[in-house]
Amino acid sequence: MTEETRKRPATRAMDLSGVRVDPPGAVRTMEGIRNTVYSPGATDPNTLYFVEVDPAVCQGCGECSHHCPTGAIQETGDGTRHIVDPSVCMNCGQCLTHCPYGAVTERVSYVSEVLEKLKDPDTVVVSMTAPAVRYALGECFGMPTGTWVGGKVHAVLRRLGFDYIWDNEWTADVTIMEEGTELLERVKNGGKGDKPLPQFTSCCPGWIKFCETFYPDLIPHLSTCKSPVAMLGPLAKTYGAQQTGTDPKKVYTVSIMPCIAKKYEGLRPEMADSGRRDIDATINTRELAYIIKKAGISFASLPDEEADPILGMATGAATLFGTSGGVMEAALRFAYEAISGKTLADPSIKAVRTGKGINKVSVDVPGFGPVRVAVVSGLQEAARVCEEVRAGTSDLHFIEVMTCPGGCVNGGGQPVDDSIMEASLFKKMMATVNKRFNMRQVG
Amino acid sequence: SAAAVLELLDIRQRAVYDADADPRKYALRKSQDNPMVKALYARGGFLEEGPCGHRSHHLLHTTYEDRSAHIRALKAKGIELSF
Repeated sequence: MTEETRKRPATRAMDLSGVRVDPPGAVRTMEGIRNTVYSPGATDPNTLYFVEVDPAVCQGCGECSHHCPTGAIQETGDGTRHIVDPSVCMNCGQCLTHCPYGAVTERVSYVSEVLEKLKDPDTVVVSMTAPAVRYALGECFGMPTGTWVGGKVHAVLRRLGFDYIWDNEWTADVTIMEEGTELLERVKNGGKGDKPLPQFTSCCPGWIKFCETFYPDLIPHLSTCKSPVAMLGPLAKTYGAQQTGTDPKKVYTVSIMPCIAKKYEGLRPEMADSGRRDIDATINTRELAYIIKKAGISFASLPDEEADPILGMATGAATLFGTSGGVMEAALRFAYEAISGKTLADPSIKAVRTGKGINKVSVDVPGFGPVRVAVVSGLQEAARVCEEVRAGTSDLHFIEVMTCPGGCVNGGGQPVDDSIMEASLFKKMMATVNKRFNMRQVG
Repeated sequence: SAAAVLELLDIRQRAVYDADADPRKYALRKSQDNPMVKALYARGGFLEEGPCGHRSHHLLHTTYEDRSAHIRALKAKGIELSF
């Protein structure tokens, strides 16, 4: 018996044989959002619509366009909205979380494939849960907003039959080691050559696609580090398989995210460094809630359990990845000690904690001087910082960018607040009147 | 409703900072102190060359692609975008 299997709690997986699996193409409402059951396989993600507006439900109020950073959601002839082209959509899903009518739908949903794999005794199913999921999943089960359910998430995944409860908080810690070291190398080289300064973070798939699409000249500034889940996928199929004595061919990795853009990331053709697909499926917080409810598990009454340790144990620095400013704070906790050789007495670096917009901070590190960083929340703001970097007027060392306001905890895959769904009667009435008027104009 | 949403964003973020500072949830607060991270990079470990070593570069680092051509094509068709 390997070290990893010996340390695992004895919790039994439940019998899923009675749980019905939705057929491909079925449309199911998951936590108020309609999802089409569809596992794209090896499809080029650039051709896929991960979200799309249902014109039959859209009232043309324009709230989605308002929250779309790139202008991808535009008006059609009859006043309803649609996405003009997948290449312009960063897949952030902010349109979806802000639509008062539930008219924005998801078009890629692996829930059925994941259930099939969980039922299959020959598949070793690995869970890879993002930090932010554990700050919102409880809302789907009547718990107050912001309740931390990290221990219950591990417990529920074990009951659902995931064979290894590994965790992106562990690879968030690994990311800090890799990305922090990369930053120190860039600083040491004075930002010369093909590794310029400032370095941008690379965890957020909306931001990465944005940089590749609208600021491709700044690609050398992006950290070459994969995101935590894109590190855990290949590590699960190499290191994890080795540690557990598992045939990597049998391993099926499930990325569990507060995000829609992570579905795009998981499908990137280059994410195959383990010798096979690194990430087999991606679901979000709402879809996990759907699976839990389908299985009939009483989530709120579960005990707290630990992740399986070798690819699962994490620190507080890792959980910070769920919030805007968190990657920066975690990186500074590492960089401070790595540069100065001194212990950082108080790990809380509150100056970088950011709700929205751009926050520029200078942190004094003994033996180095000021480390100049910026935390950016939102792609409109990111564009402003990109313009500075492009113009060569930025003196920063490190910039964190998150697409969603406040970071992943408010991502497009998180439970949607009831107050958004229940738009005011007046707003609904105005939208209906506008739609009829527009349709008459066209007709 | 806008105020309610702002508050919602704020509450989830605060919950993250509370968890980081709660030793019952996270006993350690620095990535470099994680024993399972130390084991990964230790001598004889899977990534024994340390962060940004050869195996790290193969498994944990990536490359990016210029995706601007599509955008230029859309703009040439007269579609207006924010950037």
